[in-house]
Amino acid sequence: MNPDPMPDVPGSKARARRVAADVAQQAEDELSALARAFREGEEAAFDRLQAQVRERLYRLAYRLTGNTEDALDVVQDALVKVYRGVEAWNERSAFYSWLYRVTANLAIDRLRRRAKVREVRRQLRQHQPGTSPDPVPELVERRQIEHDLRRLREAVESLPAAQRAIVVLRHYEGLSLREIAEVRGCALGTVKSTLHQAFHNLRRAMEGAVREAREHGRA
Amino acid sequence: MVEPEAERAGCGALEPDLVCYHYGELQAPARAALERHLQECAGCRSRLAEIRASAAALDRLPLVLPSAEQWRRFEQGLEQRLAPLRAERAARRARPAAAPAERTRGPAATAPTAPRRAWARWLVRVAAAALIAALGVTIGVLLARNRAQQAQIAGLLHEVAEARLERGDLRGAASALDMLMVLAPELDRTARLKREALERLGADSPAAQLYLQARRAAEPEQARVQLAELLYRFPEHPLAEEAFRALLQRGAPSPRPLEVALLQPLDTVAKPLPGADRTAHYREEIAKLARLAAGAPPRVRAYALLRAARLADEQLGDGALAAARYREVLAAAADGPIRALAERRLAELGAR
Repeated sequence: MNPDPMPDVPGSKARARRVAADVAQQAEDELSALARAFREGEEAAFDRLQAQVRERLYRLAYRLTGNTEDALDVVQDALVKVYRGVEAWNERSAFYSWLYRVTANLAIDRLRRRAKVREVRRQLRQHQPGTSPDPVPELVERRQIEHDLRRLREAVESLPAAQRAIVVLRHYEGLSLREIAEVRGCALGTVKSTLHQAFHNLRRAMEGAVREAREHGRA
Repeated sequence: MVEPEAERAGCGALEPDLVCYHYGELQAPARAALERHLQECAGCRSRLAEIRASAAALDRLPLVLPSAEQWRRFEQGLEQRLAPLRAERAARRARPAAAPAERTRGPAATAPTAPRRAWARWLVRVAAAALIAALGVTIGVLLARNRAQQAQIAGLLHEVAEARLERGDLRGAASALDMLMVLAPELDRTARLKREALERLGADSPAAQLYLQARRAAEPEQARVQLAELLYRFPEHPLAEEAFRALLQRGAPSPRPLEVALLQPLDTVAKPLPGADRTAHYREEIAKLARLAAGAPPRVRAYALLRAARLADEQLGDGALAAARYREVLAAAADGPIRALAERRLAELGAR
């Protein structure tokens, strides 16, 4: 594949989108064919299928759960679910879309469970003696970067599961709002308002980090 | 010039469109209308800049990819979970002749597989019980990968908690209930068992009474006496550890609700960090407890030495070190359950 950016001539972007869509469609068809073969008894088809999808699913799960271990667990849960229940795929949607939905929902469930546990831990911590950070001068700069990244991560993690899911699906996964509505099983208007609410909350949660990003942008 | 905030108040309805606009999700007429509005409205322009900055910040969050080792463990784990399913699937496919006849019988068609499922469930149960016994409750919970497994582990934890309650191992029961509260707080059975445990461990128990008296004490010295009494008389009670910790912090019991203190007692001994040398860590903790014991009043000394002996015994499995520590306990505790515990364990170690 040509790594150079597409020249900006009229029609080239549309052509690039069409080519990308064709490639994606081919990949989807291939996965659907593998899933069909597995459903009909070809055991090796599942192994090929899982090898093809696991990294894509991991990316989705990582963005949703925010950590590697949880993301790998989610992907594993999703693949086991597919193995156990491939009959539930009714071919009304492409196989990957179905698998994607399964994975996203498992990750969101995990996120919700974790939010509950985190809340209990937070309450418990309030009653325990805390430890104050111990700044080391030579690490200040690195800590500042880590601090900013942590604040960003915390801002995303502080979003309610539904808002986080929509930010991840739109921003990192590049799904259209209509596709998100399909994956999440809700109305388009709900997706729009939730995305707006999510950005509103993000802005509030990470005002400092955003300021810095704007300065970077201007520089 | 109009203040941005004032302008924003007037175009609140447009805000959801700004995020859609940023992501190229507005249809042509709405997009054109918004672009016209943006030329006139500084507030919305500023809001759009904020959305773009938020999106740019999101781009800075790294995607952490698993290491080759993590993928290897993933594959192993997946294969372990798939193995029984593969076997079941192969078995299903190996008896094609029976299938059509069974299918026509409707729900009853599941009957021939029921004994197999019961058998499989029993096997899983035994395996999970062995796992919990071998690795401990915490690891069992962490290994529970999905709801079905979590339900199985929760069932086993109930049995563990009930058995521990029955044989009076209150601290052990509290630990199992602690895990249950994380794993299945919504289950009726958890709530019932928790109530039952709290009755046994709870506000009416003499240990809890001493703890509450210490908390209400007007003078720190008075509190210290009650706490020392608690851990000397009830060294096995979950609150003994809380009392010990409070004594180390100059006799100030933690203000946590009693229920939380009972079910999730704070431990004075830190667990080793992942990857740390476990043996060195526990040896250090044992030495720390011995140092604390040296400067403590007799009752507290007896308890600190018992904790050190138990660490050597249970965490290090070092019989000689444990026996030496238990003998120090005997020297520090003239009577009471601490002495009885040390004597019993010394006899067992000697017999071995």
